[in-house]
Amino acid sequence: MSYAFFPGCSMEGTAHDYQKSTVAVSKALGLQLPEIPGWICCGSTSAHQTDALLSVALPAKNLVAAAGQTVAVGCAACYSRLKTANHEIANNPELRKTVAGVVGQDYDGKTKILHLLEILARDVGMKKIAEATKKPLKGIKVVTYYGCLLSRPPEVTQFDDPENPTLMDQVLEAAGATILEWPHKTECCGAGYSITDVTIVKKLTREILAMAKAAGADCIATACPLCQMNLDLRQKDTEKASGEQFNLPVFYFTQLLGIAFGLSRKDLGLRSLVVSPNKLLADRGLCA
Amino acid sequence: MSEQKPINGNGASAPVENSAKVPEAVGAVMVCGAGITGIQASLDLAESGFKVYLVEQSAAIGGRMSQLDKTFPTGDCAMCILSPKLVECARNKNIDILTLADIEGISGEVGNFEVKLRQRPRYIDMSKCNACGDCSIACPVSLPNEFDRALGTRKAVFRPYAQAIPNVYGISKAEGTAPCKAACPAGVNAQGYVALVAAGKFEEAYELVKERCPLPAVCGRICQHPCESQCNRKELDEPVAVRDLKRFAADFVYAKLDKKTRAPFTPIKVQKEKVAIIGGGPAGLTAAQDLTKQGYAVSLFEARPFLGGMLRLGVPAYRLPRDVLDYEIEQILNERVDVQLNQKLGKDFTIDSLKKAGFSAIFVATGAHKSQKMDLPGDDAAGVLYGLDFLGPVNLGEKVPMGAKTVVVGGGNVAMDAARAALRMGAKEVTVVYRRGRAEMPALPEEIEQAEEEGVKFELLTNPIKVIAASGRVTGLECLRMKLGEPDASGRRRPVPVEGSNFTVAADNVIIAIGQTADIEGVPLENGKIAANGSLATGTDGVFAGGDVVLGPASLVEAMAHGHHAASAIHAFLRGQPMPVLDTKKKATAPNPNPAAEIAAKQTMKKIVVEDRTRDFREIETGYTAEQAVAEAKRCLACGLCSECGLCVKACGPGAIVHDMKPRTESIRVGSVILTPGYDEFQASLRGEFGHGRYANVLSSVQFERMLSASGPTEGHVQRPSDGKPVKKIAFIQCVGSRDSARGNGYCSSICCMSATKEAMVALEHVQGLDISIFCMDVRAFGKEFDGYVNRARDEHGVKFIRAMPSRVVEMPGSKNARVRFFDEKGAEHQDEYDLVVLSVGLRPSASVKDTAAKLGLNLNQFGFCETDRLAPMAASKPGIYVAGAFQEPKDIPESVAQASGAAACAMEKLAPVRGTMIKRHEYPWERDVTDEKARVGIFICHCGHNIASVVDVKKVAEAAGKMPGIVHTETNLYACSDTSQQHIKDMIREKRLNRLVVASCSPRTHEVLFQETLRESGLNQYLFAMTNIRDQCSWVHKNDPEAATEKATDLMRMAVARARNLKALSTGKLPVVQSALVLGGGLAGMTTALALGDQGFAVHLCEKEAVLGGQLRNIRYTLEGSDVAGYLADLIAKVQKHPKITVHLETKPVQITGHVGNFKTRVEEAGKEQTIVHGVIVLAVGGQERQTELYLNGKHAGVMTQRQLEEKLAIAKAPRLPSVPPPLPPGVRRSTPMTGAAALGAEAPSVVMIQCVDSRNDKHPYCSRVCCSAAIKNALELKRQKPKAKVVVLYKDIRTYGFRELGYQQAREAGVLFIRYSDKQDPIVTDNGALQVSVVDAGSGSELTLTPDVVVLSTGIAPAEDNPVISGLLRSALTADGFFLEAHPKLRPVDLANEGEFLAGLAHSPRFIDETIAQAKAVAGRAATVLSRAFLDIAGQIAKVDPTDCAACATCVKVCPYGAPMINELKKAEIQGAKCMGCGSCTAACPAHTITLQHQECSQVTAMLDELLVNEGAVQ
Repeated sequence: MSYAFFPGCSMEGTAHDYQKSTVAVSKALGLQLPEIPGWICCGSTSAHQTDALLSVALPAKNLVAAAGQTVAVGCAACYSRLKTANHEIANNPELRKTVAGVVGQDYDGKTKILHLLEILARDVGMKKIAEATKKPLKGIKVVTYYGCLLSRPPEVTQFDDPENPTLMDQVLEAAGATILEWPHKTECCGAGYSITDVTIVKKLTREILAMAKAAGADCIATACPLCQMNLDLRQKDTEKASGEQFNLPVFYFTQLLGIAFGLSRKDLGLRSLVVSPNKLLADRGLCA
Repeated sequence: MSEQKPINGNGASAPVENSAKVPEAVGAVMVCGAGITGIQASLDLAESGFKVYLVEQSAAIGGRMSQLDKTFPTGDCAMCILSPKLVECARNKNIDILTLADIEGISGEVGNFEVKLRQRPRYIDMSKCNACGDCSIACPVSLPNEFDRALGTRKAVFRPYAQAIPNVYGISKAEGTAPCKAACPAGVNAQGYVALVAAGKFEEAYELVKERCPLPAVCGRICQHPCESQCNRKELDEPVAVRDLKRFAADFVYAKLDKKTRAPFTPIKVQKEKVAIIGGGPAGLTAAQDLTKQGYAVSLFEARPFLGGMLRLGVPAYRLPRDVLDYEIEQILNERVDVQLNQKLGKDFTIDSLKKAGFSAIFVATGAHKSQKMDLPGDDAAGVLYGLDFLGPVNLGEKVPMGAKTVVVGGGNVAMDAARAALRMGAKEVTVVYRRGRAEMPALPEEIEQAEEEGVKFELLTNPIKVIAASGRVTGLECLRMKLGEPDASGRRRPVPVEGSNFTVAADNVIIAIGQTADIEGVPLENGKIAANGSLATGTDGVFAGGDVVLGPASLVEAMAHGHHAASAIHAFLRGQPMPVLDTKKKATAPNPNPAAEIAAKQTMKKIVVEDRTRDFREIETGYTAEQAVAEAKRCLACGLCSECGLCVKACGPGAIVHDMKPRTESIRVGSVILTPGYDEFQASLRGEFGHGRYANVLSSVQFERMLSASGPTEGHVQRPSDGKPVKKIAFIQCVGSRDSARGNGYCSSICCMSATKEAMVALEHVQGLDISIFCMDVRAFGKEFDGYVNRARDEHGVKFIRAMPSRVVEMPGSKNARVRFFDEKGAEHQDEYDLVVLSVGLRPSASVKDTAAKLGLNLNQFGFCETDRLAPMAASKPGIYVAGAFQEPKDIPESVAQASGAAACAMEKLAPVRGTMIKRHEYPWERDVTDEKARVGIFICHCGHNIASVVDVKKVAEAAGKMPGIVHTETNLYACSDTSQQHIKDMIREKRLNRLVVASCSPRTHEVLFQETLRESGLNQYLFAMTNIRDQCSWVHKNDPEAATEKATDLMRMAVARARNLKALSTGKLPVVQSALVLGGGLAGMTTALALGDQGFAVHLCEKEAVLGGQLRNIRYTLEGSDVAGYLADLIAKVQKHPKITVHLETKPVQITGHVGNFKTRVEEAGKEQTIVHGVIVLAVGGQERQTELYLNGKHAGVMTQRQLEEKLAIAKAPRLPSVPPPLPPGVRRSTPMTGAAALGAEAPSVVMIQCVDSRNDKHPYCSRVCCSAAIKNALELKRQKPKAKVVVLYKDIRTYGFRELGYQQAREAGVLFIRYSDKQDPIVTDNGALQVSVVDAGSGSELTLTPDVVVLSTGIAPAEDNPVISGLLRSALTADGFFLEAHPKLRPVDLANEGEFLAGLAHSPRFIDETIAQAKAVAGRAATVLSRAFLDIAGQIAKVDPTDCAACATCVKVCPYGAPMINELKKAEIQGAKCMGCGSCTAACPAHTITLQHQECSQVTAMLDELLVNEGAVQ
């Protein structure tokens, strides 16, 4: 199984642990993820706020480079941007022409784009994940947090049930984790305001962390670099501001899978987590 | 008899125009959809002389109304008002109710259609079912109750609700067989016995297994359970442990049995032929059982000294204890089986010798007992054994000592058994060598697991190549590693040797277990097996073969399957019938009916600990406990729905259950079709942010309605589904799926605001102090008396109406409270927690209607509703097909009912010439005069199966009653209502000359008419009958106290007899009908009714007070949808004026109205001259008027006008060729003064402010005029069309554009029309400071806005007509507080007035749109036809009679009668007009002189009952 991988800038930088664990887990599952040759920014940071054409042309350039291969994406923001570009180009012949002019090649907007979760849950399948699991995540109570970008808008991303997605639940369950039902799977963490108005982010992440705690979670599993950063990096600040104690490690789902597969801490980049998962993992006899 | 004559005989003749057009017309109508709409249409048609086929897709009529708890705004119990209609439908001889029916196609044209119907099977014979419900009590299968929207469960055999009509049960079956059942080779009904175990019916489960499996406890232990591999549950978690449940049922039964006795045996019949069975294994034993049951004598020949075959030789006791095996074999044997042990085929006897000995058929089932050899080099060394050679002796209890190291070769069950037996025989280390991988091992996974647990090691992907021996004794096994290559013919991947991977396993013993073949002599073999065909017949006539000897080593269940099949083939062979062929085709299986079922882990059986296991051969698994078995069985998804367990068949007294009923199609000829399929609710889970289906305490409004219902899943208790705790705080979220073009539907569902308010009010009745919030965009209480209801909810009961659309509901962890997030009108965020959130789900077309419409060739609108025009609201796109109810547009009950009668009228217009041609009229014999006879009472007491008889001692009741004076016949009947009982009653009446009949049974509501018919058919007056209910009111309610119940039944019986003795024959009068109508009012309603009646051939007098026809319609120029109203009106007037049956009386007013239904006399003043019109019905269509106002400078400022005036100007501008002189106005209506400000409308960008609810919805006029919002939007849109730059602001309280009119609201907002809401408490202020200025406080933000429009347009609403009080006085017909006429019943009789024969339509009823007025006007025609189509009306026998002797003419009766029946006649005495009397008894009770008698309820009759109860008590004992 091979996919043209689009890492995006986050996975190269702040979310390098996501990147690491993705690579390690893919390897364990026999999944080939060669990067798209010469990939560039997807346009999700500033382009889509400032320049409508650029916001479509940037992803189009990348998708052209994928040369018709199914594209695999890990970052939810990249995923959203690439999918949006596809949606707009496929439904707007005018735009398609303009983009062709910019990119230097006609692009039909039909390249298949999948998030890692879709690949793991649907293409790889639970059986393989269960087979690859050496240390089942027994006794770890996880809330899955998908954030707002993966499933919305549903007509564009066509990811899963937009309000109650379950792909991550299935994947982690196959690795032996206990998935808790909670209502904030797709709540917004406020990443859009990470730079401009942090008070909004704090308010939103507090709500998510508090709900996860109330649901009885030991940790949170994420599938987006921005979500992970907001929930993990700001957790201490949020605790201070609200006077609550969360102490909830915020994993990438690939890290949890890697732990179940018996991969090393280093391969999974566990050291990068701000809220330390060490005690939790030690208590459950995992990743010693 | 004149009753038989064509209907139009009395003064009215059929219109020439129609009869010429439809020479072959059929006097029948098909009504599709049996909700309240379809029911009303059917009743109107049937009562007007047409045959009706009422077609319904579900199992019962009643539709959505039957699900409702209460109705708004009257708070009536929905069922209480619906149920009589259902019964009326069922009783009507001219209505054929066809349930479970779908339309397949239609051909022909108006007047003569042929409709093809497909009726799905009910699996219950409706003519036999008496709805006792015993089947449902017996049924073990619980399914989600769709009637309660899955809030509770129901049985697979069920009635949707208690009052369902047809009053019979039905069975739900899936399309396709349950996969488990389909998978069983032996045909054991797996779902059936699992369901029975789940219901705790263990013995019944065992009996069901036994039907197809002669060895339940054996099979329950060792079967390879193909049922489990196919179980749909495996998609969710693990398959149901079907096999273990079979074991449990058998063990449970055996534990209670005295095992020493054999169950008594009786064959079906005795056959003379003898059958020989060779082989005492499972195939032979099964065949022996089946053949002896069929009556054959069987000889069972077995080569060994014991029976059981491979079950005994191959299966170790730790899996199959010997006592279990022995006992079950013993049960099969009986006096018709001659067991011959130690008799080996080919040695002790031959096939020929058997034939000679007189056996007519022979079944060879000798099994496969010869071990397959492997031909390994060195396998002749000592210590090398073959599987069965080792297992056989071990299983017979011999000691076969094993060396310390044993290697077993093979991967099947025999290999596993050999390995584990070797451990028990002393081996210390056992290794299984198998050439493929674990996944490919043929042994059962649980066998492999248990072997592992016991310490067996596995060398997989390993093939032995050589036995290594030293001094003739085995020391090891040389093996080669294998890898898996390409799949072979069996689909498994072929093992390929890995070169040079040789290694040796040390071994003291090697057991080779790689399969067996037949071990048989004297029979020709092919590949070591006997060849047999699909009927298991061999090449030799009369010789059959089955089991392993044919199949090769196979499973127990396959052997049993062969045993069964051979037995039936032999039976057929011996009877000379064609032999059945084994069905190897895969059966269509049913899908998982509940993919969202909760995950539930499989129950694990207790096992003895590993250390104890290998010591001996004790059984390892100890079986389920009863609790475990029930829990495991409850995991079953019931894929087949009904499990066909057969308990209902056993429970059903009348034998009504027919499990193999098939669907059938039929063609029906009808003249017209009316579609009333109703609606489905929006699927709430599609608005995922509210979490319906995900969060326990979020319900749809339909579910909540069921929760409120006393007959619902919680019996009316308002409780949290998550924990059953009481509810303190509820939120309703409105418009879920409505007014939402993104994720729902763009239209408004019309009923939800009122429905939620009603549910809130009912919930408040159930729970004191409940806190209720309703989140809504607008409160759309636009119907008659609706605003008052909402105001009461808000002001008196504290229901909060919060203007917000919540964005999200989340379930709080722990409490499971539903937290609602919303932003208030000021923009502040709230997150409030509620115990319960109710989603007011909108209406959408029913799921199947698209298909039906396509088959009928009808157009649907963009939303999938029936396409209609506002000016012809009941006409579907194909002539002769009509539509009514919610399928036309979302609407409430009264509008649906009105449309129903309207659609019926439409159908009648085309079919008037063939009225009465297809209806049944019953001929009865002459009535016997019994006046001078002494009472000869016959008593019939019903058992109602055991519904009554199991509680009430009916014999005792009969004995007690039989001793009463006047009784000449007493008997009890199993079912008094059955056809045979009715015939028997008739015979008894004749034989014993009975003249009074008493039946003690169920409810008179459903059954009285049936018995009365029997009386009439026997020549007895129907009133000589008394019925007493000893079921509903006795056996059912006192089932825990049989003795007292019997006593009460005796009392009831005695009272009924006492009454019966005093009953008198009553004559039912006949009243001639004047077949013409008087219509008051020549507006849209009056003219439409007049035309509809005229077209049906009835004479009509149309009286209009003005000099011109047209009424208020003259002021309406176009509709929101753009229809040309003026053109329609001109056309309508022309049609009325030239219609031969209509006489138009202009400038005419009624002066006096007398008479009653069928014969009214009305004096009218026509142009100053009085005359009298005689008519059978009267129709009030007197209209209404635009409300006059002086508010907001109306009439004082040139720039202020009403919507009507604006419309007139826009219409002229739109079509300048229209007459610029407006039509004359009615007197009293002022034309607004010429206005200069209005000239601004001619500017390029006029600025207009519209004010809604002017002098409406206030304390003075508390009602809503319904049309003004749409009218304002209509005019705003027209203005924007004409002047795109116009600025239009609408100031409103609520925008009430219900139904598809919501699209206009959306268009208006898109066109830039601005809407500003003002509060009830702060009306806008219009001032004239040189220019117009409007000040308004925005109700949301609270900020004050000042607008300076050129023109202010006022929506002043509709006022009742000025004459209403006068006409109300003439008719004695009440007005509402708002001044409109009051209908007979606001829900179900919307166009009837309280008195019979008087009807109402249009603005006289309430404010309404053109299409609604047309529907009502047509409805009046439909209702009036039920009177006018008859030559005579029947007057009931139970009416009041005045004895004039004592009458003082005090007129008390006149005052108290609600129906206007009593009058003071010319002799100055009170007289009851029979046609008006409803038999209520009010006058009888009120008469101070006691001179009025209510017949059939006479004092003598009532006192006789009381005397019997209170005075004669005990006298009969």
